[in-house]
Amino acid sequence: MSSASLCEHPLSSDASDLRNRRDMRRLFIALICVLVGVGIQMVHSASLTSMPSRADSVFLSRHLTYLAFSICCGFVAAQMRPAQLQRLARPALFVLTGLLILVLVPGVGSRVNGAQRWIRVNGLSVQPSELGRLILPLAAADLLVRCRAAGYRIRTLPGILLPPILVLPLVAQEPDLGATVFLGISYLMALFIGGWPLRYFALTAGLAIPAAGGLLILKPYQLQRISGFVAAWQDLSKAPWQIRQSLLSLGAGGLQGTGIGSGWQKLSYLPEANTDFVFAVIGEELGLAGTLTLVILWAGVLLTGRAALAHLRPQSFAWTFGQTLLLQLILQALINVAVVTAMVPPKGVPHPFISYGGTNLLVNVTAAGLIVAMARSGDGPP
Amino acid sequence: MKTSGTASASRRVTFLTALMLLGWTILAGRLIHLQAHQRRILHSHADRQSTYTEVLRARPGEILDRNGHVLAMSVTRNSVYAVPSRIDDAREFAWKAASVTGVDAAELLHRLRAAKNRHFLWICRRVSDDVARKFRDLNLPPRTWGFRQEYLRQYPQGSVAAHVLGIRDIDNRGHGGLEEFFDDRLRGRDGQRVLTRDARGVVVEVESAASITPVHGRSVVCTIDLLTQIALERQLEHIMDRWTPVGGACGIVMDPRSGDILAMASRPDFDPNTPADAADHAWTNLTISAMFEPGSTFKPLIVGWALDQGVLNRSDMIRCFSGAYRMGSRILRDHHAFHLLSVEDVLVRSSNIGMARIAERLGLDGLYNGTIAFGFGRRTGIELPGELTGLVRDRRHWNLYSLGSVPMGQEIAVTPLQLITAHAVLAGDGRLMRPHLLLPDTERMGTASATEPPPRSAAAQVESTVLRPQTAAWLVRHPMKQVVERGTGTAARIPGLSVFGKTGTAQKIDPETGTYSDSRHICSFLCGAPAENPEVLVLIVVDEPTAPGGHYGGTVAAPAAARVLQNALERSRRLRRTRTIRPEDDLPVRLQ
Repeated sequence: MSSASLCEHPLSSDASDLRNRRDMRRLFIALICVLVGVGIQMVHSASLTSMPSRADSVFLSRHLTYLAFSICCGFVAAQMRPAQLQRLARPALFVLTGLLILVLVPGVGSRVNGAQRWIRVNGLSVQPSELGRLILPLAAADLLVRCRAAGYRIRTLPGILLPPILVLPLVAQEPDLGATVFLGISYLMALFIGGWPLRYFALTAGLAIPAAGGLLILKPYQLQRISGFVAAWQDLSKAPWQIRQSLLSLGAGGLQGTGIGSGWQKLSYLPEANTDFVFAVIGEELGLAGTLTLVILWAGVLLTGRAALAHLRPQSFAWTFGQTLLLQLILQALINVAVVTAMVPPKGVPHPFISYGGTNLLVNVTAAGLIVAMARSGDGPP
Repeated sequence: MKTSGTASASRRVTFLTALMLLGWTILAGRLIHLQAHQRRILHSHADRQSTYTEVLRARPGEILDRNGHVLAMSVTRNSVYAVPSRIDDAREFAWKAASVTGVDAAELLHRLRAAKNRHFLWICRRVSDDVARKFRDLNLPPRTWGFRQEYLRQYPQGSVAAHVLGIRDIDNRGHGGLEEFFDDRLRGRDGQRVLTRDARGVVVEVESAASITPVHGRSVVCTIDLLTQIALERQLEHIMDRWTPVGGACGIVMDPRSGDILAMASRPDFDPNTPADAADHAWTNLTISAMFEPGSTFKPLIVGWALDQGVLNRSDMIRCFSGAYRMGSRILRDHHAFHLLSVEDVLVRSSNIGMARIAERLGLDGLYNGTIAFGFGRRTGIELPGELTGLVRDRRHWNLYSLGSVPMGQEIAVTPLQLITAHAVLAGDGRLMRPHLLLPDTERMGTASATEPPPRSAAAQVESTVLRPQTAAWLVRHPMKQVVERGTGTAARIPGLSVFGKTGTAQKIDPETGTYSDSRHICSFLCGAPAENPEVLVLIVVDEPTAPGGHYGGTVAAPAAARVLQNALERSRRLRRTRTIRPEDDLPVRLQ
């Protein structure tokens, strides 16, 4: 892999290298744009229902509105400098904690299907836990850089683990188990990338596994979800409705798909067709050709993003933050596809850039902007 | 320290990247598995959940009498179904639904719960309009229930001609009678509609390519005349009350010129509208499935055969040996001691000895051939299921004993329909007709298409010529007319009409002794009119009358037969003037 050679000369910045990096950045942005484009098409198609109404087209226009706003945020994010971001880390963490508390306040947070996850202001809804996907890695990168000088002593441990300890219980309280797990994993990923000593991971695992076990005992419906998922492997008819419909949609698409807009499952059988299960709609309408193309796109995003970040000094703030955001994006897509193909138990994880969804789209586009910002930071003043 | 730290951090990212790529590879493999290998099975699953084939029922055809009166028809009725998937409170739903439909509430609740994810469940089928209205008035939650129209077979005349009609069950299959015999024609062919439905069960699309239009059943117009039928049924009812026969009674009215069955009835009977209430033995149509020894009604046939075979002349005098005649080891007896009887008087007096003397002239072969020629021992071929052949033993088993028994109507078993068909030879110019129930020129009712080939029963109505017309006419005009004028059938006399007839009183075999019983009889009477040109033939058979008052065909069956005959004759004349009466021109008749 070419990245290995780049790592050995992390600070080289001759002209061709610079151009190469810029090309990688542009390729990365282009790939993201392709995904966003696919997203627009699929949100439009997947929002159709068996009883066409005005509501179907509302999704597309809302999606486009969110997208425009997200692109603005992403553009602003791309102009940020690592130092500015580092200064923002702590205030952002407190703002996040504040918002998460606010969500739980009755009357402020809006309740949908028994979960209190959204703050609605003037018809715009914000999901604070989504913001955690930007702010937790930011906090992790900031803390790691600060603590590195001390060599990650044991007394730094509480400080480093403070952000998740503040945020995760609040998210779990909403309740949003999927987001809790995902945020926990991405925070650990940030620590791992940032060079946190492995012994501490062992320690964290020792604490986290019993906690997870306890949670399963306390909330048996979670266990039921998992057992239902296992059943889907053995007998399709016993699988939970969502999983079954998702697999049927993929299978119905076959090799070439039914064509854009002519999928049948999304019309009513497949729930959450335009959000968490949009990939199944792609599977039905574009077939194996479409789904594999998407897999290749994501691999491309991973490799170009990695190449664009390769010139940064490892373990620097920009490098840690950029790599974490990149891998987090890929991980989200990976988990989403794994859920849709019944490889992991169902969890509410949208497909980045493609699923309909306000805060999620905003966070992902901003994350992409931040990755670009980090990638540009080594170029010197623009 | 620092360089090794950065190198290890790089390795960590590389490790994670590799992990991600591995994850994507696995997912790509999974996608290929699902979308390439399993695509057919998954596709069929997906199809199955969204397409639904609805059967479009064919409307069964009607059965009409010869004048267009409806004997059997199908009406649309509402069937109530539930949509269990949309019912929130199954208990309340079941309780309310049961309160008006009469379905068991607990059982309905159980069914609703068992099918709670399905979109369709019958609650009660083919309910009356009254129940449907009550159900509507329950104001159950919308979209949790609905009506679907189904066909209900109805017999507007009640039990009239029940045995001729048979019944049509809930699955549109005919059982017994014309319903069974003409099942293919009446049933039609169900169609289907393939619907695509969404997950909520709402129909999104109708797949017209895969849909089939139902072909409704065609009507059957039968030869029955409703008013004659009703007259016959009333007389049988009267016989049942008056004589309380053990084995029931039955009657047939036939037009000897064409073989049309104008009426056919059997007792005990049933109401085809409520087949569940029918007793087991009520299903039997005695006219085609009762087998009995015909007795004296058989005698004119043998006389006719002997005359035509040239072994007997009308003017011959038969010596009757004063009421006792030895045949081999057997002594035949007459009711009265006749010395010398003319051929006519052998029949009028119903002399057994006279008949045996005539049979001796025919010989066993002649006797056997005659019996077969009149159609005994084989089905007449009427359009009814379950017709029996009767019993004519093989020629090898006939002996000297038979020579005495057969001519007086013993040793053979016939069905009432065979008997009247054989007598139609006498009344109808000597030709053996095939009795039939399907009106040959159905087209005139405008119910069948012109391209349809003629029904099989209409094709060959005349089976063979058995007697010379003169012989047949003589028998009817002289001996059989005299039977009614001065013989055993005087109870059948009708003023102003030249009625001919023949009584029959056969002893039943006593199951205990195995010999002829003195107390158990099958009484029959066959008559027709007018003798000069017979238009109508009536046969009534009463199986083992028990009420006191004589057990002869002439007393039990003749009066009833005469009344049916008179009625049928009036109808026949009325109908002859206008062969195609439309039902609205005819008398409005409803028995109910």
